[in-house]
Amino acid sequence: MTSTSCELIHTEVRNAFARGITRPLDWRLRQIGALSKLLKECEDHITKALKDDLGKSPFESFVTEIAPLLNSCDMMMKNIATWMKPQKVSLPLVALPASGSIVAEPFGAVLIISPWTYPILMSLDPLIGAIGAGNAAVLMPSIVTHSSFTVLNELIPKYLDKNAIKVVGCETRVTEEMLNLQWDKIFFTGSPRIAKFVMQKAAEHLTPVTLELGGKCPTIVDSSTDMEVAARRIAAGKWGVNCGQSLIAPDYVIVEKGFAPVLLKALKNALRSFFGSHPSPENPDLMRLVNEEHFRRVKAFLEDPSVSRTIKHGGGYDIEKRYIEPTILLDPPRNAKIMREEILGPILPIITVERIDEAIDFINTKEKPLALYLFTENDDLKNEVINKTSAGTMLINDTVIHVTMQELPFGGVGKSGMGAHHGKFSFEAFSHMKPVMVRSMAGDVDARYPPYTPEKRNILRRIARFQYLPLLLVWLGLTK
Amino acid sequence: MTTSIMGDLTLSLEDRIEEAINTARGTFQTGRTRPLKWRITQLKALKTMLDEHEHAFCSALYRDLGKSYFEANYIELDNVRNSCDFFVKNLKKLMKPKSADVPWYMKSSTKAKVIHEPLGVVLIFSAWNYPLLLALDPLVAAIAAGNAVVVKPAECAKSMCLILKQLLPKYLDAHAVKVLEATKEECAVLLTYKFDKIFYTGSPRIGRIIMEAAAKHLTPVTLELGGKSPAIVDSTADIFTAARRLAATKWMINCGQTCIAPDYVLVHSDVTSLFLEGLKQSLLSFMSPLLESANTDVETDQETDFMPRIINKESLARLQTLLDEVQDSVVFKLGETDTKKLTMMPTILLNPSMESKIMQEEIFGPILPVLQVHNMEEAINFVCSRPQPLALYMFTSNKKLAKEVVEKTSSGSVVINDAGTQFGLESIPFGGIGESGMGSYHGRYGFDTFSHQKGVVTTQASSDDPIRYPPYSAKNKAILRACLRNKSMLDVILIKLGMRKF
Repeated sequence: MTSTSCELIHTEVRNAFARGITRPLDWRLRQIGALSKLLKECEDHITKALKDDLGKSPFESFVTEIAPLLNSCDMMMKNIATWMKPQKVSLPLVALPASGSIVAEPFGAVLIISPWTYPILMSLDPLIGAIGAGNAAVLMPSIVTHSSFTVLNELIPKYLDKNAIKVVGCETRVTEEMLNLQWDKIFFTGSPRIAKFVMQKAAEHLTPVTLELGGKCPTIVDSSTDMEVAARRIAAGKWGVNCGQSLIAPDYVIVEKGFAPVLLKALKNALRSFFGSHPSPENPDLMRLVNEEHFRRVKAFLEDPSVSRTIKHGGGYDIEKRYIEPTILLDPPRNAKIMREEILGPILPIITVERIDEAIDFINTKEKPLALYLFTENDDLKNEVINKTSAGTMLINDTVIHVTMQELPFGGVGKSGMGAHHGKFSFEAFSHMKPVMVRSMAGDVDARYPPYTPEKRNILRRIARFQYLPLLLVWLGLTK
Repeated sequence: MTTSIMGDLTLSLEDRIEEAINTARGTFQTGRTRPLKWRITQLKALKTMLDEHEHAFCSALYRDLGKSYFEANYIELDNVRNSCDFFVKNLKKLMKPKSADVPWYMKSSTKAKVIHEPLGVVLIFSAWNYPLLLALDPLVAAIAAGNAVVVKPAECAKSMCLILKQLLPKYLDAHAVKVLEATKEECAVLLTYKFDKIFYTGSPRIGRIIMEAAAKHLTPVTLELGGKSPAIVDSTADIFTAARRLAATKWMINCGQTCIAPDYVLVHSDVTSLFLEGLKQSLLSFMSPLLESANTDVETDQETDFMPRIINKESLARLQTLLDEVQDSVVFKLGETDTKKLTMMPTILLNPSMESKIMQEEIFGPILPVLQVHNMEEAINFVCSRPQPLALYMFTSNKKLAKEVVEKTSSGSVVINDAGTQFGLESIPFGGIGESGMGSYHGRYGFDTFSHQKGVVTTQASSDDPIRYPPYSAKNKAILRACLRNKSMLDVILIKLGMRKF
């Protein structure tokens, strides 16, 4: 793809928006309806692509990518008409006669860049928000998950309005070309490193951005919790979904030294009950690393001898199949690479502390994560963690389930991102909320205009400070 | 190492910056800025500061910009007072967690809510045209949201800089709210440091620099920028009222040096002469005492009515250059420019050339180009072919046309049949789009701007349905698929009983 082709695509999409085709409710409903149809009619096709790319089972593809998308479509179709209506706002008495409302305006031509972790979900979910809000869009799905990209590239133009919605593969050079052009909004999901570059390019055009980034999502396990339940939920969040390759996967666990053995045993039990005593790449519920580069990256964590000697479970791998078995570490060195970088793989370090509240300090030495998980029955600890740490979202006694909650803003803070989406937040992520104030031509109070006599100044000051009673008295001539 | 020429001469720039940031961050980390009580105390203290030193603040505005005592209060101090009042009244409610719905199959075990969390250390850049308002109004919102703040006052407004530096630490928690002076050059160094949020009011050019610097730390930004805010006057408008309202907003507030001042006007050719007449009459009536006193050489002081001046020589020279290029389009000028007093009089242009600089850049001064259009479609196309402005003003009695303008144009905000009145209202988010900015504030929008909305989900650990976990039987898969697709409880029961497939 040349820079001219990028410019052409950009121009076409811009023109589609300028012509106004993406704005009517009717168009938005048809597009989202068509997307819903695509997901239902081509589920097998999509599932096969996800199997090729990540080894996802049809069940996992449905649960983690297709179902959430269908739900987003349903929710958006149900609500667009309401959200598009101007919302009336109340104005103070002094502003009358006037009425005020806030109108949701689409940004225009938006760019959506998505990663390989959930290649279908993370390109189409923002797209649903973009379309719902009336924008034209260019999708740039990662080409790392090549089959998924191919499916999107083939199916989107078939089902959706190809003048207003386009697909371009996200590879370095092409992405740079695209980012040189002027967009009205950029929605990026991926790593903090690339996000910095995206935001810098966006700055050149003063383009607003939503960045959904990763980080190390910590999991605190307190002794008051039911270890078996905690272990199952952590194991499910880590290894039950995409082989740990999730921005919200529990990255590492913190537990009090004395309880580490219990937790370790519980995690092993959970793994055994999920995947049997000898998990293998043939197990339909276990996934692979996405490609050779990431396989090597994750395996490299274990090549550090100071880390490999802390393996308490797993550690095995199959290079050809890009498979690493569920692996648990106990107290790898805190400055090892695996404790400094986002793991995005099936290795779970357990870090022990003397007292559980040290976990807060430890977490605060790192960047704010996309999610923070806390397992505890202790209300005091709960409040401490809520108030003293910061994360995109916080879960108590569970992991990852917040992705299904349409009423929660899904997004990061600090290095884990800015902005949010899901539900109405998706609609707002792609809208400019424009206030419209309508004033009456009548009722022009002389006091408003200079020259300002002392009387006028008195009245205006009262107006400015919403001091109604004094104003009334002045108007009635009862005070000066 | 650069040494500051203002402030403490013994500290280098880096030292001053680090002292401010480290103190603010250290204070934030103690948690002191988070309780409702602290926030309310700060806001009340800020208001007390304005009340107890009202005269000093107004004098600073007089010295910096020539603002009258009345204008200083009415436009700057009163708006900040209102913001304080709004939060004192509403903060408890704003801080309350909002409960969020969860899928039905989770209802018995799971609760979700959204809480507003402070971001941490916020950097606020003020602007010289409203050097008090644009430092303190964002500050009020940042404090209300529980942050520690570093305020960089506008260095052009030297008196305001000085008084903020003296008084803010006296009234507010001096370890949580820091005033940091920095010149333009020093700001480049300031921007290399990490903040949790940057709030900037100023020009698009600097806005870009700020966002680029913020990108290096992935710091979210709110940029309140400017642009050429157009006014459109249709032949069905009440021309005299339109002229009066536009004249008042353009010239009677800070001499046109306002981000939401009507920059230029597009008038239907049928009513252009009437409109120009309306502008002139309004100006003459507004400025009559001033013109009289000018003729009698009476010394004006802070109390009497007069027009603010241009901020400095450079700005005045800039405006003069813009005007020189289009001299032949001047149709009205209320008086001569005084380069010593830095005053420029209201000037009206008719149909200046489209290529002239004054039609390209934001004027930010008392010159109003009036452009004739043959129809409203021409006006709408004109506006749409230019960068999105901070405000758009439409004067018409044709409701359909008003609606069309709202739908076809894009701007930070729209006001129909008035100008400037959208400012300072707590229910109206104030901000731009495109070249005019990103993000907004005022009222609860300010609270949101300086907060992170954090979802908090609490699940019971006591009951654990094994159906959640692998390995998944065919029936379990069907049940889970149904739940995840929000199928009803009945559907799920039927699937469980083997009476339905999914």
